[in-house]
Amino acid sequence: MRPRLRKLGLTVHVAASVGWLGAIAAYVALNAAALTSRDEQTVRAAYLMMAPVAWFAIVPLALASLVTGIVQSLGTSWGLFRHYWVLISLVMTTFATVVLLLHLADVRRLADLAADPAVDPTTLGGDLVHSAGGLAVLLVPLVLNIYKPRGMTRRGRREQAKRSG
Amino acid sequence: MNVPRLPRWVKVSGIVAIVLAVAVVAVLLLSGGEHGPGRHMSFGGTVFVA
Repeated sequence: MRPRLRKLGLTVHVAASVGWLGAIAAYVALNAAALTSRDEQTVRAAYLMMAPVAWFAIVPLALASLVTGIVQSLGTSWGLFRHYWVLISLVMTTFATVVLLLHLADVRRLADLAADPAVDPTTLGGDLVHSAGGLAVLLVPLVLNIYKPRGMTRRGRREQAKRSG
Repeated sequence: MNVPRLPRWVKVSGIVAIVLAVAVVAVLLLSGGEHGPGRHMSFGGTVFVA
């Protein structure tokens, strides 16, 4: 990958990844409002907003982060399976994206319940554990991507040995 | 040359990940297998309809 293209790819990847964390933080904030507010309308509105935040912010940013991360690693000398920090970042990001996609139906169901005027939204119980857990999981690739700790996989060592003759 | 097989930080992270995974599975099993929004809170997932 040419340096200019690599830099553009890195910019998009960082923007998508940081945006993903920010979107989850917004989702956590909605949960905090839903769980702590005593005003029924505020609680109902918070639950209703969780679905669009998940669908139109968290999901696109998660997919963008995953795809740009893969492209970035394959297009540079880091590779996808050569270094432990890249491999673990890939596994964690893929895991978080799969759990997110599987969880969307529950988010929709929660919003549908909150939209029902017959349901007391203050008894819905929120979705704080999942969102805070997701945020915690995503902090691992963030730290790994910044610190880039040493350590090559068996495949990485083999490729390095082949290159050095 | 003696090349370390697995860096220490990978080993420690792996152990932490396994402990967390076991804890999550244990919580899921102890909660009767029910999982989803609202089921982690004290409400137990009960929805009160007016």
